[in-house]
Amino acid sequence: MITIRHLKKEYANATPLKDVNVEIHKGDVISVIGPSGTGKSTLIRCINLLETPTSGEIFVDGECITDKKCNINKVRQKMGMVFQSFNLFNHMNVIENIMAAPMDLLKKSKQEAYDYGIELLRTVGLADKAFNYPDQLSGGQKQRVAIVRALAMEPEIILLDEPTSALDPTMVGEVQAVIRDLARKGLTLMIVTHEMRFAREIANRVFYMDEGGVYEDGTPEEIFDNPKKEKTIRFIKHLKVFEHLITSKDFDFIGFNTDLEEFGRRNQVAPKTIYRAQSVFEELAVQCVLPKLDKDFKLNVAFEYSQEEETLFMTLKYDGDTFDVRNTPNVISFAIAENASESIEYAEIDEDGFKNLVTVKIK
Amino acid sequence: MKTKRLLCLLLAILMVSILLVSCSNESQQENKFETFEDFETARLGILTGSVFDKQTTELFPNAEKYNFDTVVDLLSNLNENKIDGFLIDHAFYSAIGWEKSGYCAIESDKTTPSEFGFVTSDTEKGNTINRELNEFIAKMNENGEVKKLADKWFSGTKPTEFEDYQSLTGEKGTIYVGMTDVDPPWSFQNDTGLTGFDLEYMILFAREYGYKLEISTVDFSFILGGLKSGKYDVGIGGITITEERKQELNFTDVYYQSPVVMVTKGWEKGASRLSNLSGKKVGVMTGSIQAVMMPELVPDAEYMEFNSVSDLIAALGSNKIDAFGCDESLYTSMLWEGQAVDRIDEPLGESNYGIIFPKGKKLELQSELNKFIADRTADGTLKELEDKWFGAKEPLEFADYENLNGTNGTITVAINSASMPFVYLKNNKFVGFDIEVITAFAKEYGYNVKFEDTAFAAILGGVQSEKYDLGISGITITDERKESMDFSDVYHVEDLAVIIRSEEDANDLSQFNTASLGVVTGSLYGGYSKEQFPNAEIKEFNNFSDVLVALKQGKVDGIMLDKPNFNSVAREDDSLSCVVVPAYSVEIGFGFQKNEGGDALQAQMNTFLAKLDADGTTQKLIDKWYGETEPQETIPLEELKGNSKTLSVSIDTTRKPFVYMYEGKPVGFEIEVLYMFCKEYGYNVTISDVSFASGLAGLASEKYDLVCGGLYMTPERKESVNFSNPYMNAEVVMAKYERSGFLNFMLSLQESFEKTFIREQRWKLIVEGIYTTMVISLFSVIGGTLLGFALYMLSRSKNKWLSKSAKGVAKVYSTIIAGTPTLVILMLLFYVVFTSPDMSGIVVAIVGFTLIFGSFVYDTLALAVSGVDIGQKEAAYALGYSRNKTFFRIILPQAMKMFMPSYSAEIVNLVKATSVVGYIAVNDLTKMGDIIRGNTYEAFFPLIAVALIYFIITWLITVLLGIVKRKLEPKRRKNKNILKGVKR
Amino acid sequence: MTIEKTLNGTELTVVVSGKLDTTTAPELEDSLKESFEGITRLVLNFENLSYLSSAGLRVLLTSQKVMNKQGEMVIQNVNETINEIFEVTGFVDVLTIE
Repeated sequence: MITIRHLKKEYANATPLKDVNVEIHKGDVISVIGPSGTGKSTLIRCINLLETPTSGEIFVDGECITDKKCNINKVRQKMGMVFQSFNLFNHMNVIENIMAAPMDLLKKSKQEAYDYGIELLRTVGLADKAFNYPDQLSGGQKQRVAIVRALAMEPEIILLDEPTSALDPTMVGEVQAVIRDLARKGLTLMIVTHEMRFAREIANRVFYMDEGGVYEDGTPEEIFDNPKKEKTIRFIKHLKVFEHLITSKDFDFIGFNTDLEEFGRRNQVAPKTIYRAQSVFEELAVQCVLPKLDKDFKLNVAFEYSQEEETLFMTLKYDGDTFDVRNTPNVISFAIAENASESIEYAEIDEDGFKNLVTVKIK
Repeated sequence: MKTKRLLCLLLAILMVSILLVSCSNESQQENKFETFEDFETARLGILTGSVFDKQTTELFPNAEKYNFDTVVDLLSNLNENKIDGFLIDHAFYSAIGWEKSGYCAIESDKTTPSEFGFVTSDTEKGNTINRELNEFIAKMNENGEVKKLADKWFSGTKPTEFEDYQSLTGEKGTIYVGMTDVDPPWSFQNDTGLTGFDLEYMILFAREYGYKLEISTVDFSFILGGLKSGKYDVGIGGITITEERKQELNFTDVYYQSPVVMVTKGWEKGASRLSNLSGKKVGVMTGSIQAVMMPELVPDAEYMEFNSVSDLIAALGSNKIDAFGCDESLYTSMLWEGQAVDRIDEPLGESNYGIIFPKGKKLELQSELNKFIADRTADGTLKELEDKWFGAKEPLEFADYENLNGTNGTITVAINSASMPFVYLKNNKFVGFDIEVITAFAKEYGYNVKFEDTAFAAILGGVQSEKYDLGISGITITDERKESMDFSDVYHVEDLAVIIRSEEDANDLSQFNTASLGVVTGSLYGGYSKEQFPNAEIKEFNNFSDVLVALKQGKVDGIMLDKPNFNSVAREDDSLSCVVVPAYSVEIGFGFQKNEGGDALQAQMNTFLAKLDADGTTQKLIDKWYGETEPQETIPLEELKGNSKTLSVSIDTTRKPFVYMYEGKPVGFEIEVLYMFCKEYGYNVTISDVSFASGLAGLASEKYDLVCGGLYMTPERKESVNFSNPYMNAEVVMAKYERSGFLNFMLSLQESFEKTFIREQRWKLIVEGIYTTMVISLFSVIGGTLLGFALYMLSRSKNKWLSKSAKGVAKVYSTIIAGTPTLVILMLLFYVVFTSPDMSGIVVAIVGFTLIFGSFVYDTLALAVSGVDIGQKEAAYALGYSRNKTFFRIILPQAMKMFMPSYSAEIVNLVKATSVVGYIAVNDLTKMGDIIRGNTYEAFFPLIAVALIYFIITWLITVLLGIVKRKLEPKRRKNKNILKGVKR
Repeated sequence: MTIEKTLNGTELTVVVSGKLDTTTAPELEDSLKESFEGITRLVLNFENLSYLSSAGLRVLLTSQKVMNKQGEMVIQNVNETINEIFEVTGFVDVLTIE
């Protein structure tokens, strides 16, 4: 139904979408998740052209909506949008909010618009608030009305931009219930959300947004239970990451250590673990690997900490010849490192120029 | 209800503002200290240790006394109203007048004069000198030389020539004189050297007796010490001779005696001198010849400039200035309007009047006008007009400038209609001396005339910029003005007048000169009143009670009547007071038939009256019946049991206190006399209570034998009536009524109201002004709103170029409007942009305010729209609303919430801002108020009235806009209206 | 890292505080090098030492070698973590730890 090709959105100081290529089919319920600032909202706002793409194409039902000649208003009438801040029209009451667009744009009669509107209100349980004004409603009620307003236009797809983020925890449920209902009815939905459980429950597809695009795309089980790609994993596992690329033998060791300590403290890593991480890093990275590298080298150090599991991993990725650190002649260092780790593993890789991967689980 | 509260607030503001006005008016009436007795409980200053200390305490035991060390302190405290007066000798007082004005001296025979003597040392030389001085003093007194000297020194003006003691050659010897040098006028240091009355006296003495004088100037105490030690032979310095001093010092005889006077604040009685203005605040009109002349006449006054005559008058009235310079004709017109002003009548100079033209232009017109002036001066027409317009009374016919039927075109003449008597409005037409001159000129040279009424300054400006052909309104020719415009030849010359507030003497008959006087129709006083006060307005009433009521209600200012009548009426009412009219007196007597019987009766009465006079009964009766208190007794006429005939007597019981009713019976002086007369001669009486006019008629028809009723024995009556000898010669007085402050204030309010609105249908001017103000406001609001909206819509246009230029234009335009004062914008438009004389001021005003309002609408609209949450726009777009639909359906309605309050407020501001259009010759409400002010010399009422009207207008607008706002409030819509036509 | 040296005759007590790692080890090495002369007993007080890496171990080893010729070297007040390092590296046998 909707095809997005090479979508790029660039701002003066950031490019949240670099190259997005996705297909959205009728009946899809897509949850869009990812860390902040990764272009989730930007993506769905580009779909109904609230944001103008810098480049790329979007096709809706075969029609290229990014074309200058396209009548975007007509296209938008086929798409509904629900906003984080509800955006109900304050100068109209509830039923007017719902009737406005069908009457003004679809040229429905007042009676038709009213009947359909009131019916929709009933389905969300707010028929008795038909004559109230938005400022007389609670957040949850407002959002439900907003959903009805979108539905009244009988759209082909509804885009929801963090629909429950601005709600009191007590009201999140009622709105989620309505959305769930829509999904069950078979409407095409695309929801940007931070609510992981809801995102998993309701969707048939999950987009994990990162690095300027849809980083990983899969079923809820795939993404949530079996994330494949690194960042997805990190996200899903709520991993905290401390990463550093070293390219010179004179790198700032003391600074690194201070930052590592800070990282540990911030994420409430146990002090002993931080100590051991420092020790492992010094022994393996500095004492064992570094001397083995050529003048122009890349050594990537990453610490991943999972608060849930309270496990700290260190990964070293380095280029140069294949060198299994476990075979290092520096037995003293290795012994110390081993002592401080639960496991030290080595693998040969070919990724971004890195040839070697050492994974250490810190005690 | 909110409206009720608002109305009450309005009323409260009205009352408060009027009270404030009346208070400021009241403040003019300071406590007047005019006679010695006025100081009985006053605050008096005393020069510590002086002879006046004792005198003040003796003369004013109940006064509050304050001690001061020097005369300077006394004067400054007097100036600051901390004391009301102080005693000092007249000689000293006269010296005060050299330097300062604003004080006057009140004399009284109750004070003990100060005696001055010279002091000599107790040595042989001193004693010799003492003897010689006494000789000299006697001589001086005899030959009147001392008087000459006193006139020179104590007349109030500083002498200009002084004797020089150093020129004495004296061969006999040297007298060592100790004197103070800080005691004018006796002995003081002048810029020419040491001088003073005492010193000159000594110089004359020394000259006569061949002495030289060696002067030492020292403190007073040192003089006395020096005399004792023989250092000085004579001590001088205005030394008063007191008993205590006589014990210690050798005084000469009294060489001068000076009465002691009470010094207090005020002008010199009767002397309105120009020099009195020194140090005072004087007003002049900006740019006028008076502004140049006054500072030359009184250089050390403080000058304040004003823009119009009405401002000058208001400033005088509210004590902001003490006097102002203007022309004689203005003074005359102020008198027409009954203003309480006086004039300093000293020759002050002349001002020349001319008609102005744009410099170097309209030369043909100029020469025609000059020829006209020359011709009409020669044949006396101009003088006739001057007599007509600058006389004592306002003229009643006016030139008709509207039906000239000229064939040579129309001349536009700039005038200012607040320039009485040159140009002013009467019944909505322009009248005045200048109007007549121009009309006559136009008639002669075949022109039509179009008068353009504008502010005075705008006449000058407008003529300079050639907007008008010429300008006239009592414009004086000054050198400065000549530089930027051409003047015609002089067409009128006036004396400069300096106007001060009038100092009414409560006992002066002149207060009735232009008053409104009440008379009983056909009474004697009708004629007397007209005779005594030819310029007064005479109002006639049916009877005395009516005229008295009219006096108390303020419908008339005074009534003439005889003193006994006045006394009886004044008994009951303290607010009545009277001023004697010395020109008249009336004889009062009884009336008898003019026949034999009447003669006999008359003779009897005369004898009887003579008897009463002789034994003092008449006086006793007069005191009883015409005194302060009303006698509380009845006359037992019914007890008369005469055995002689019965007299038929007519009594007029409205003639209190001669004859009146008390407890149902006739009483009064005449009744008592009648009673006594009848008793004496054994008469009975039958009383008929009729008016004295009927009584007199009854005499002729022999119905009555005797007529009582305080009859005036006028010559006319004497022809048909036999009068007894007059039993009384009564004074004639003018009675006036001192209304209570509040009543006075309410009456003056009423009068002001009448003058401002009713007279000459001035309310029509107000209505016209309101109409103009509303028209300008309405069109400007509509125009400005459309302009602002249009500009905003353009700035929103999709067309980038259009929207950018619209925004640019808007920014520049807003900046200019915001940075330029409204008046300047209007004047620029009127004088620079729309220079065509056909461009009416109203149109320019509408253009100007449209621009101003439009800028505001644009800014406010932009702000209001930007205040609408961006989410609203996004939601609308997401639904599929086009840009324009979104704006009109979603954004604008919500923006109105922020827009309307500012919009309504700005409309009100606009209405108020239009008050400056008077400067571009538009007669709006404010200008009309000004015009009325100029014509009536009412300083305050027109202003307050105009302010009130503005308040009401803006209040109504606010209410109206409030209704509109409420109607627009989305939440107020009824649900059934929202869903009209929908089945639920 | 701070180094405090106290000389008592021929006994030198060195208090090492802070971290002994790749960056600080050279400093200790230099400091000790200049003090070896005439010392018969070298006491290293590790009471305030919070971190020890292999770089530090190497310095200890060289020092031990030197002192073995002149007298003795003793390490005192080692904490648990550092003791552990001595054990897993086998240095516990080489160094005299009190």
